[in-house]
Amino acid sequence: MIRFIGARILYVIPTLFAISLISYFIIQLPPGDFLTSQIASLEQQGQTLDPAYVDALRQRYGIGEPFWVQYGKWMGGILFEGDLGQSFEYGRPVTALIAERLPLTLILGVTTLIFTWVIALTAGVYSAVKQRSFADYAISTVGFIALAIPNFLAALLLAYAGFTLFGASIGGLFSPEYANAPWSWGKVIDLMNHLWIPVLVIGLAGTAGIIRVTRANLLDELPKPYVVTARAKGLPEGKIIRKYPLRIALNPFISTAGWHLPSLFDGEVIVAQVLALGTTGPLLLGALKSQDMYLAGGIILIIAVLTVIGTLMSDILLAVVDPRVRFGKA
Amino acid sequence: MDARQVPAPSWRRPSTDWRSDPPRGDVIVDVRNLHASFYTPDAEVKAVDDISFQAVRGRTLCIVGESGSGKSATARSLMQLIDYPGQISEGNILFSPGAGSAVQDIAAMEPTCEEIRAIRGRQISMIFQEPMSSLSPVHTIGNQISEVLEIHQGLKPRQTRERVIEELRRVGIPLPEERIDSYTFQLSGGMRQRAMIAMALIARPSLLIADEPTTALDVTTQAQILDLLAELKEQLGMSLIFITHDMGVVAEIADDVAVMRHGKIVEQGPVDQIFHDPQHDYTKQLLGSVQGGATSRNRRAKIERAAASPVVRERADPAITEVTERPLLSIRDLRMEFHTVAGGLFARRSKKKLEAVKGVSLDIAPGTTFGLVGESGCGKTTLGRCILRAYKPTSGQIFFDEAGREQVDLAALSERELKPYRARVRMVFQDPYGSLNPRMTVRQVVEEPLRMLDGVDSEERGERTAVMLERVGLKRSAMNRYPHAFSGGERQRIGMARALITDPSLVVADEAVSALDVSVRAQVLDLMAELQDQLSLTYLFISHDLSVVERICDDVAVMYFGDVVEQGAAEDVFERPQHPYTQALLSATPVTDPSARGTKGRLTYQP
Repeated sequence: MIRFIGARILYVIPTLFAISLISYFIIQLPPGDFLTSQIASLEQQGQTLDPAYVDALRQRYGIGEPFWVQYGKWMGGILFEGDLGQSFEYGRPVTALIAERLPLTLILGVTTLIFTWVIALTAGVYSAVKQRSFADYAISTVGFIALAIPNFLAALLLAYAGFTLFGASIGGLFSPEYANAPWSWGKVIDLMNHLWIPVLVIGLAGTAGIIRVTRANLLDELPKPYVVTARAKGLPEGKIIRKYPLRIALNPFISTAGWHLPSLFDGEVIVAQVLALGTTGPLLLGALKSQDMYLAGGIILIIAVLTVIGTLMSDILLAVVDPRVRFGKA
Repeated sequence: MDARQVPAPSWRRPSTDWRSDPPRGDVIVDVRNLHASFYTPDAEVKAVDDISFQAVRGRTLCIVGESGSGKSATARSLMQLIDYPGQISEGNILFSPGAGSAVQDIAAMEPTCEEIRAIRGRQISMIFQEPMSSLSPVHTIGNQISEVLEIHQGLKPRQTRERVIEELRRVGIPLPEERIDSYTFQLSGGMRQRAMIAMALIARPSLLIADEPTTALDVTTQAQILDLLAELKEQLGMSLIFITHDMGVVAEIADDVAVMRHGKIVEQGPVDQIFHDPQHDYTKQLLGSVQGGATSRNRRAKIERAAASPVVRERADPAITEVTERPLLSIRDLRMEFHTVAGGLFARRSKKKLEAVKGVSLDIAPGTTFGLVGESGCGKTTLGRCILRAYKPTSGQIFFDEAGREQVDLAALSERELKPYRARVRMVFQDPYGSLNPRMTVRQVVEEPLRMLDGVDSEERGERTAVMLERVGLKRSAMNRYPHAFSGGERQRIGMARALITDPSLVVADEAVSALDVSVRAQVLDLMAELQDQLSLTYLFISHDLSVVERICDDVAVMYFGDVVEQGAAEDVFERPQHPYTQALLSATPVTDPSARGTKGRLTYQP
């Protein structure tokens, strides 16, 4: 086991290096840099900047130096000082900006994840066991509709419904009176009042796929002889399904469970933007638009690292859960 | 549940009043006028059609029949285990676990109700055909066995560990203390079936239903499992209902026999009566396809053929052979190695070298049938595939020497050079279902090998396909239909047509009749013999079934773990086996005569 994990971790190191290089390359790709886009937007507003001042800024941020030198400085800071660099736009360290938004991002991510899986697994198992029943068709229909409606549209519709029916304030995860208030029970309840809209929107859209896969996998497993064996022992139906076919039907999910780790962090860019949530999603979008490259690079790098770590966790988890993988038989 | 479905009768049906006519005391299960049907969207398919039989306490009842006869549906009805959309529609299954104990009608119980669950695994247990797929691959066998005690006696797994180990020991699993924590894929087929038996018996049921428990096993393992079941039945005082298609197995273990066909019981009675005085034509046919009848005719034909072939002269006078005939195929020191990566989380990952064929040499004379026998994993299929060059052998030579052509070493040819020989050496596969593409018509399937030959246009291909189909006993009109429209036997004829369409000289038949029912098997074997005469074919007949090989082969080689341990003329090998493994193999083959039971000692071979 230790050897297996060790080997996997060794694979992770070059992967991470490649990812960091590619993500740095990509954020460098668009023509120009933060300063040129800043100057352009100032000029649009009718202002001009002294070229000497611009040069001074260039010097200070190391813009214009060769790619490798910039990349080296960036990685060096991350590896040795845990410093993701400075955001040009906010003039503050990237780590501080991310840390500020992290709790809400995680609350949204974890809640959505739990919501999605509880709903989707229950619905998937139910529609497999009651195949071709009314409930099966109803579940599939709702799932597909949720999948087909664009997230941002559903978010807008729900926000409107929330505003007209429940009088909830639009935008953000807090009402104005709690936005800057310290944590209290009132604030928590206020958060719950706002949280349901993005959780519902993001969560329902994610259920359709899981429902279909659970249903299909379970339908493959249900007629297998080992299910008949379990029945012939005198086990009750519910226990049979939970212990035997469901366990095997869940394998594809376990092997991809790690992919949800980055989605906990990325804060659902589009929905969060539409609903003006204070998660990392809008932060990333803004950084990309204004070519705030250290902020964008930092977020992308964290997401990439989480993806790699998530995959590693999935591999290990699958080996723990399925002996066939552990003994190299599948 | 399905709106489109033919309405099924409700579960609580008014049953005929059996209480006024209770079953006899010595009958453990009395089945009366049982009907079971599968309700599909289009129709009601009657799997079990008004059958009645009685299983007597302490005896073994064999229900025998071919695929689709309803024998498995009958067995599953006894535990209300018919798969959806099937269900019992009428009749009684009167079960009383002990003499004088209360009688319950299982047919009147719902498939998921508490009463039937109390019977399953506790009073009636079942073992199945394929132990690998009938056990969960992700739970240890100990977990799955102790679960039975957990359900029926409310014991926790750690309280039952000792009992499970004891049970594993009883069914003959070595080192049960370690095996209890094994997963199914870590055990051999025979060990898995033993674990399955331990699971079925640990709650000491009064009735064990065994649904083709030895069909997926090798003949020596089958013999061990049959002996074990007979022994446990005595020790534990159980009754046994044994479902099989194999008359040899019936002769080995049955006390009473019920013969099923098309959902009905055509004949039932004590085993001696069924074997020695069968009344129904179908029973005679079943017995005929394993005993005399077709056999003797084949044998005669074979002997006549052998007399006409130069091989016999070769044996009679070795001096002539040098001049007259060289073997069609001679294999010299053929080796085939596979490299697998084994090991896992806890062990060092290592590359393992598996020697599937370890230096085999053999000669196949033209116009003869050469039998290659051995148990699963012995390398017989690998050898066949090397000859076809589906595999590239690691070393050795395969000389292919057709009359009027140059001798070539198939093992040394490149893919391009092999191309003409792909039409000369052809294969017939085991599984008549899996080996035909369901999306191709019969014509497309059969003519495909011709497409790779140059200069055969579409019209000629069509004509040759039609002629070949008639030759294998199918109609021309079959050309435009799809394989699913044909039965297993007909599909195997299509497979034969595909193999023979290029007019080959050598046909490798890898377990070509193993998946067929006995009566169909006899027909396909007759066809193969007929075609051999007409087209002067040479067969390499790969099989685990000794009775078939004995019947149709001129020469035989016995393989054991990659080595040929014995080879020679079929008569010599079967009547005077020299190698202890051949002797063990022959002693394990069931004799189709119940009165000969126990007269033949079992030999085991340990190298």
